[in-house]
Amino acid sequence: MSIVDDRPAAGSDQPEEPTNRPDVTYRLREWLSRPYVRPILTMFVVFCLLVIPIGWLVVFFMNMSGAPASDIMSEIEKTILVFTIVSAPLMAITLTIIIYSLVGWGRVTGDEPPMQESPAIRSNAIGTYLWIGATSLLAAFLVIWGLVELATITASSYGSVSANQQPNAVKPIDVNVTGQQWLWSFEYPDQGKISNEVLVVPINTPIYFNVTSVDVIHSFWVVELGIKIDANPGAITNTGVTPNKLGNFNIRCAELCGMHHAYMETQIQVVTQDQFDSWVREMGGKRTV
Amino acid sequence: MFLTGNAGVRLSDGAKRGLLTVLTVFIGVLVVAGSVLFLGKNQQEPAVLAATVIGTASTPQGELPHATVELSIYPNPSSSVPGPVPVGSRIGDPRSANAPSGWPFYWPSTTLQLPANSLITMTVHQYDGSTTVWNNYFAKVHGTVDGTAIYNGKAQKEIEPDNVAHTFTIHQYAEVTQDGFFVSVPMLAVPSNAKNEANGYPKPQDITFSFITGDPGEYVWNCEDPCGYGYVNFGGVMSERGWMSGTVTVV
Repeated sequence: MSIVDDRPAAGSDQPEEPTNRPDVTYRLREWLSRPYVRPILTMFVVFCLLVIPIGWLVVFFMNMSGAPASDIMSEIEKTILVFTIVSAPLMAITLTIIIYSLVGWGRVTGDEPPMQESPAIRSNAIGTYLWIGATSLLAAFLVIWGLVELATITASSYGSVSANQQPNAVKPIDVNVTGQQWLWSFEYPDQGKISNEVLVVPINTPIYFNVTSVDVIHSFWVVELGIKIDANPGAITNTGVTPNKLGNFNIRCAELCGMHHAYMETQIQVVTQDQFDSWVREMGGKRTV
Repeated sequence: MFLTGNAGVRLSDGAKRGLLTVLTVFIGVLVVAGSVLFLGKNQQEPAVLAATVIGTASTPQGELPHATVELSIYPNPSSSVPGPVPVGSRIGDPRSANAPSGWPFYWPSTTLQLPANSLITMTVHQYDGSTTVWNNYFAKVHGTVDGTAIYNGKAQKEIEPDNVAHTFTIHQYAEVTQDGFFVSVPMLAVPSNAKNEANGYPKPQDITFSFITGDPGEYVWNCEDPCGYGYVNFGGVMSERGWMSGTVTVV
């Protein structure tokens, strides 16, 4: 008795054994013909189109409390818009599946479990890789964008470099900010230590804030300028900004600090350099160099 | 949705769930509204103290109506000056409890009403001792007509931070509907060795200052001197309306 090996020899040019696997077009048509696919795809597209304008709406409502008056706030708004847009497809597919699961597969009533319309999905390699790939790319994009923006904003707000070490051509103005229940006060150490309860600053000049508190924790917040930093008792925190728009903006406390927290607000007046110099003279201070 | 049977009207499961949802929301609204009404009723502001118009006066802004208002600051209550009633006592028994001993307070009211676009002259009789002000900015006079206040007949722009007993500070800045309004005057302390007079209090420091009101608006005022307890001295009396803080309504 002899054993016959009928396997093709290695390196032979015989055709591969047929697999009976239909081609891609056929499989796509079959997938699209499933009863739940087209409604889900339609809802996905609709949600995408609905979610993206929400990004503009968010920025619109942010601007209702004041349009950006510094590069920092412009960068923050741009980031919010971009994050909303790139997150829209994921939010849309999640919403779609949730809603279709509740509505499309929720019609069966009674005590018995619903009949299966098709075999349970045990695994789906394409879906798995697509989901992991897409979300990983998105997460990577958000991290990189966020780090770049953070570096940009930190540089703009002088987060780590003191005012007298700034390379800018325009000399920054130091302002000592003191929060207390329930008022802000401001001192200009380089302008003869004048002080005021309203913050007056010149346009297009870097302002460097030394922020502290004499009682509890407050938070120095100017929406239009995109700056917010805690005012801690016994410590000085720093931030900075270069206002690029004339006008009056509200300074608020963003840390619940007691009974009159809601009234702990004052104004920042962004004026021209000449107006600022005049104001300093009126207050009995020294003119800005 | 409604099924009828021999037992009368029967609701389907869906209708029951819907009704339960509506009932839950209704009860929630009732609880919230009840809490708001209860707290509102028991945290009423003190009675309004309206400034008295006494004529007109020349000001940097021209001839304006002139009104006066008089306040006192006491270090603690007495038989002649009962002081404000704490909120807790008001809830328990509206007729009980005077001010706790050691709680300073403005008197007779912290709810002030001032005429709009007028010169206001305020006189404060200050009976309390000193507490060093944390922020020297509030040892200076701000927002008065000529930047000064008159302390026992002497005009001054500021007093020593160590001699500040309290401050009278009106603030709140406009959103869009009202003008900014900021007045802050430090109140000179009574010397620590001052002896009490027959009324149980030492001879007061008399402080007078004038400021000009703008258009009608709602503002708050409070003391900026750390004269309370806890929370770096802004707790206790400083965290309850009617004692060292209140409202200013410009009408």
